[in-house]
Amino acid sequence: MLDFLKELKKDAENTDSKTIGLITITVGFISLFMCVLNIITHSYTMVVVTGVLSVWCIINFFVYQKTKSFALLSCSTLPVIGIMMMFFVVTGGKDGFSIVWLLLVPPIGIFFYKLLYGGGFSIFLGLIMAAYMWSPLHELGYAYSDTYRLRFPIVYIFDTIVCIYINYTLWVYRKNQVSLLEYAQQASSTKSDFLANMSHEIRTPLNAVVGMCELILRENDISDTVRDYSFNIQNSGRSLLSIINDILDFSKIESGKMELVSEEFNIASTINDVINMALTRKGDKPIEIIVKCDPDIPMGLIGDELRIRQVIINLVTNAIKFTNRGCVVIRVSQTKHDYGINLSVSVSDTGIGISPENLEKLFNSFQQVNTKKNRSVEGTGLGLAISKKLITSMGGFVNVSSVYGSGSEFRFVIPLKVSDEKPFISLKEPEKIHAAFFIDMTKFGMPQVAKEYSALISELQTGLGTDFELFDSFAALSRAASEKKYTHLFTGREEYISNREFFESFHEGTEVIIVQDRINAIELPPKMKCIYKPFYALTAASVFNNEKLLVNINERRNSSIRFVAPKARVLVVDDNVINLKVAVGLMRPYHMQVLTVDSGRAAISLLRSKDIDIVFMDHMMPEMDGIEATRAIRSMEGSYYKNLPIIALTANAVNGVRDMYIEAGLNDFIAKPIELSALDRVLKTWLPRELIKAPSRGERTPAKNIKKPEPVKEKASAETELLSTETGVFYTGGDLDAYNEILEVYVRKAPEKLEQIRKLFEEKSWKNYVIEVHALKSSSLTVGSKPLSELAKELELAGKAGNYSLIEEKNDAMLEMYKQVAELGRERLKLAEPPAPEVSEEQPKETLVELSREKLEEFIGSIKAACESFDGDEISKICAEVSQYAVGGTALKPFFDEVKADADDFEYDSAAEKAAAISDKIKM
Amino acid sequence: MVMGKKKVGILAECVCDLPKSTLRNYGVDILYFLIETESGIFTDTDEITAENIISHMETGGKKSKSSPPSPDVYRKAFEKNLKRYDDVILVAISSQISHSCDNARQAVELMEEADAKRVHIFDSQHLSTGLGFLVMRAAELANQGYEADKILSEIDSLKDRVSTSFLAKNADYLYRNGLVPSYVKNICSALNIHPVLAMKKGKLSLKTVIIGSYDYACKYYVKRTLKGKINIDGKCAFITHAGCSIKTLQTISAEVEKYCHFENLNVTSASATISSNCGPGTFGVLFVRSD
Repeated sequence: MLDFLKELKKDAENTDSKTIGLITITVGFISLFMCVLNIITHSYTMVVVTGVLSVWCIINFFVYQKTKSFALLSCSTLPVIGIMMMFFVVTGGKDGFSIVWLLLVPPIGIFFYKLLYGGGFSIFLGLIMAAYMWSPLHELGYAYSDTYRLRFPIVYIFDTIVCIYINYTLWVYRKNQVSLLEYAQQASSTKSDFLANMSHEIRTPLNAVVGMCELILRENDISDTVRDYSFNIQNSGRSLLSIINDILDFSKIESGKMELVSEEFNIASTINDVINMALTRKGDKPIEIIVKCDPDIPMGLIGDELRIRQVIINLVTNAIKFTNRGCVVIRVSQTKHDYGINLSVSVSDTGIGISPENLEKLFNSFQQVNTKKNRSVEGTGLGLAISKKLITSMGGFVNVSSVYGSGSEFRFVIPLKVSDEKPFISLKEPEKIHAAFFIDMTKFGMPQVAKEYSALISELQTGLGTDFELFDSFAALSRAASEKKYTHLFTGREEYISNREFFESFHEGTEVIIVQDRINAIELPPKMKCIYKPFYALTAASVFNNEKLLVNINERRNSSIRFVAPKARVLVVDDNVINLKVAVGLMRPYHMQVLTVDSGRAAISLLRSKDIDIVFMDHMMPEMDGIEATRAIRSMEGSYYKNLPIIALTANAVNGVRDMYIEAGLNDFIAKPIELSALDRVLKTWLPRELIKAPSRGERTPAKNIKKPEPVKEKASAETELLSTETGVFYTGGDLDAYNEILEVYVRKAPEKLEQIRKLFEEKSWKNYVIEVHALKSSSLTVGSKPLSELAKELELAGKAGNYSLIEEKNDAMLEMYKQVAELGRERLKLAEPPAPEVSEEQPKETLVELSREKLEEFIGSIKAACESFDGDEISKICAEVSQYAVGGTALKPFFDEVKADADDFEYDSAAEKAAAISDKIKM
Repeated sequence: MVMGKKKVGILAECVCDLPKSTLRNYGVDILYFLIETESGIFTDTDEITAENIISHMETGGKKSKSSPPSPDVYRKAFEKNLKRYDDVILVAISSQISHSCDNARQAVELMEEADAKRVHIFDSQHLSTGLGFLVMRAAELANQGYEADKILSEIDSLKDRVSTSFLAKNADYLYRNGLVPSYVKNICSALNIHPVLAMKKGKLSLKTVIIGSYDYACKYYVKRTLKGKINIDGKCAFITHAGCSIKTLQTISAEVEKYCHFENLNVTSASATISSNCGPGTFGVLFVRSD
C-alpha cells in the first residue's frame, strides 16, 4: 500500500516535470518555426525576436532537466516571454496580429508555471499592457484602432481571471487529493500498527491456551482422549502463534523495523533443522524429501541464520503443502567470490504448480494464489512476501519458476561472508571408500523421483570424491558385488525385504546400511545398520567417517528398555524448539528429569541454580554458541562445573569433529538428528553409574505388575490408602529410589507449602490459592496420596468456578490431610522434624538475605526460560524463592510479585519482559 | 543431410536469451555473465533473473554492472568441450557491446597451441535472441556432423539476415548504462518518446523513435517492424522481453500474428544482463530475413 502511494506521488511529480519540460520545448520549437516563417517573409526584426526566444527556451529546457529547479526556469523564461510579448504589443507584429499571442500568456503561465509565478506574471504583463494601451504612450508604437486598443486589455484580463479560477479549482482538487493520499497513508500505517497490536493482544490469550494445555498434559490422571484433545489444542495453538508471528514479522518489515543480525553460523545445523521440520510437516504423506547439498560449503558463515532458516522452512513448508505425491527436493549450493560465497538454496516439488498469471502476484502480501484449488491449504499468504523481503534485505534475490500441474521451484541466493573456509563435510579417506546404492526406481511411481535420486548419487560421488555407484536393478547389483568388493552397500527398506538373503550374506569389510523412513521402520539383524531418510551428503559422510551415527534398529529397540535413570537431571540446550521437542521425546523412555533452555546463556544461569547430571549442548546457537557456553561453564568455580558431562549436539560431519569438541571442553558428541542408539551410548557412558537402573516392568505395564517395594512397611490399610507407596512408585516411573527422593522433597516442602496455602486462604487470594492447590493435587498424586489429590482437585475446581464457600468449608480438612500425609511420609523415610519455616512475607526488610547480582541474573534467566515454556508453576516457584532476598538493600519481592501476577494472567511475554527489566530497575 | 558423428561443440553465452531447455536439446553448453550489485556478484540466470535485477533497480538499487565470464572460465569451458569434440565454436555476443570476445581470445592464448587452433570464436555482431538464432543454427549444423569451417561460414552468412531490434519503454536504462547521452534521455522522458534500437554492424544504435503512450508504441513498433515485409523467414521468431506483463505480451503476440504468421512464435524472457542494460518494458521482435 505504502509502495503504491509512493509510486503515485512519484508519478505525479514526473508528470509535472514532463509537462513543464514539454511546454518549454514546445514554445522553443514554435518560436523556431516562427523564426523560419519570418525569414521567409523577410521580417528580420521578428526573426531576431523569435530566434532569441527559441534558443532561450531550448537552453532553459536542458537547464531545467539538469537542475529540476522550477524557480530558475520561471525566472529565466517568463521575463523573456514578457519582453517579447511587449515587443509584439508595441510593434504590432505582422499587421497588428501578433498581439493575439498575448492571450496565450495567462493559460501557459498559470497552468504550466504555477499560480504564483505564472499568475503573477500574467497580471503584471496585463497591467503593463493596459497602461500602454490606455495611455498616450500607445501613440509611440503600432497604430491599433481605438476599439481594439480599449477592448483588448479587457479581454486579456478576462482571460487571466478565467485561467486563475480554473487553476484555483484544480489547486483545491489537488490539495484534496494530497490530503486523501495522506489519509490513505495514515490508514496504511494505522493498519500496520493495528496488526502489530492485535497480534500482540492475540498472543496473550493464546499463550494462556497453550500454557493451560501444557498443564493438562502434565497431569497424570487424565484419559488418553483428553490427552489427545489437549495435544491437538496445543498444536493448533502453536500453529496459530506461528501465523501471528508471521503477521508481526510482516508489520515489522512494512514499518522498516526488522533488524537483521550478522553472526557466525554453521549451515549443517541449519540444514538439519530444516530436515527435522520437513519430516514433521511431511508426516505420512507419500512424498520423498531429497536433500542435495554441496559438501564444499564453508563451515563458518556469517549472516542471520535465524532468518535464513525461516525462509527455507517457509519454502519447504509450502512445497510439502502443495505436493501430494512425488518429491520435494532441497538443494543447497554455493559459488565462491572475493567477499565470501553466494549461498543458493532451491526448493523444488512435483506439486500442483502455479499458472503464469499467478506467478506475477505470487510474492504479493496476503495472497494465496488459486484459492479455489488450494482451499484445503491453510496459510496467511504472508510467508512468501516475508521471505522475499527478508532475502532482499540480505542483499539477495528470490526466483520462482513453475509448470502448472507439474511442480514449482523456488530459489534464493544471498551473499554471505565466510568465517571458516573449511568445508562443512569432509571424509577421512575418500579413496578407500567403494560404495554402492541399490534403489528399485520403479517403487517411486514418478520418473521425476527416480531422476532426482540418480542425480543425488552422482552428486555424492563427485562432491565427496568417493567411488559411489547406483544400481537400479538387483541383477546388476549382484553381478557387480560378485566382481568387486564394496565397503558400503546402501539400500532401501523394500529392496532389503525383497532380497534379504543377499544383503545378510555380507560379512566383514562390507557394511550394509538400510535407508528407511522413521515411520514403519523395520527391525534389522544386529550386524546391519540403519539410517533414516533423507539420505544426503551429511549422513553419507557420517557413515563413511564411521562417526557412530548409525542406528541399528535392533539395538535401538533393546536400548529403549535397557535402562532408566529417573533421578538423572538432564539439561538440553538448543535454540530450535523442534529440536528440543525431539530431544525431550527421545529421552522420555529413560524417565529422566529433562530440562530445556534455548540459549547458552540460559543454560549457564540454570546451572548456577540447579544440579544437573548431564548437559546436551547444541553447537550453533545465536549470541553464545555451545562451545562458548561450555568454556564459560568450565571456567566457573567448583569441581562440579569442571566434571559436568557436556555432550555436543551437532549436525557437523566433518572429519575430526570429535577432537574439536573435546579440545573445547565438551566430553562427547551426538550427531543430529539424534538417534536413540547414539543417545543410549552417550547416556550409558556419561551418566553417573548410581543413577542408571534396570527398567522395571511398571514402566511399560499396568500398575499391578509393579514389584512391591520391600523396604516400605505400610502400617495399616487407612494409612496405605492415604499414602500408597505402590501408587507413588507407579507415578514416579517404577523406581523406588526415585519415589523416595520425590517423597523426601514433598515432605520437606510441606510445612512451607502448608503455611503458604493457609496464608492465601486467609487473604482470600483465590487465584494464587488455586495455583497452589493445583500443584498440591499433582504432587500428592505423584507421591501416592490419592485422597489428598482428589480433595485438592475438588478445591481447585471450586476455586476456578468461584465456589469459595466450598473452599472455606473444606480447606482445613485438606490442610489437615496434607499434614498427615507429610507426617506419614516423614515416618516412612525416617526423617528428622521439619525445619522452622523459612523467611515469611512479614519478615522485615533488614532481615532479608542479601543476594549477589550474579545470582539475581540467574533467577531472572530461569524465569525467562520458564516463560518461554509457558511454565506458570515454575515461575511461581522461582518468584516465591527469590522474594526472600534483597539486592543492595532493595527487597526483590515487589518486583517479582509483578512478574508472578503477569504469569498468573498467562501474560508470559510481559512476565519475561518485566523479569528482564528488574536488574536495571534495581541498578537505578 | 546427416553427415555423421558430431565433431564440433557449440558454446553460447546466456545473453543469447534462449531457454535452458532449448539449449539442452541442442546440446549447447552455456556460459554465464556476472552481474554486480551493491551486495555482491551474481551469476546471470542461475542466481539472478531479469525480474530480480529490474526489481532491484526499481527499488532504489544504484548498481547493476554486468560483465562477461573471466578468461579462465572460458578456458575451462573450451577444454571441457575439446575433450569431447574435434573443434569448439563459441558464438559470442557482439564484440562492440561486450568484452566477451576479448576474454575468450585471452582464454585461447592461455591454452596449448594445438588446442588453441581448435577453438573458434565467432563474433556474432548480435545480442539476445538475435544471437540465439545463430547459436541454434550452429548447433543444428554441429548436430548434423558438419565441420567447424562449414558451420562458421553458414552462421557468418546468416548473421546479416538476422533482424535484431528492440523498443525501449524509455531511455532511462540506456542512459544509466551509457548507451545514450543524458540529453537524449531527457528529451525522451519529457516528450514521451520511446527509442527503437537496432543492431547494425555489431552496434546497438538508435534506429528511430516512437512518440506517444507505451501501448501505442508497442503496437506501432510491431507494425513498423513486420508490416509489408515480404522477405521474412516465417519459420521462427522471438518476442524477447524484459519484465513485460503477461497482458502486454499477449497484445504484442496478437499484433505480431496480425502482420506475419510464424510457425514458431516464441516468447522468451531476456537475461538479467540484457535486462539490466535496457530496463523494464523493453521488448523486441526478432526474426530472420529470407533473402
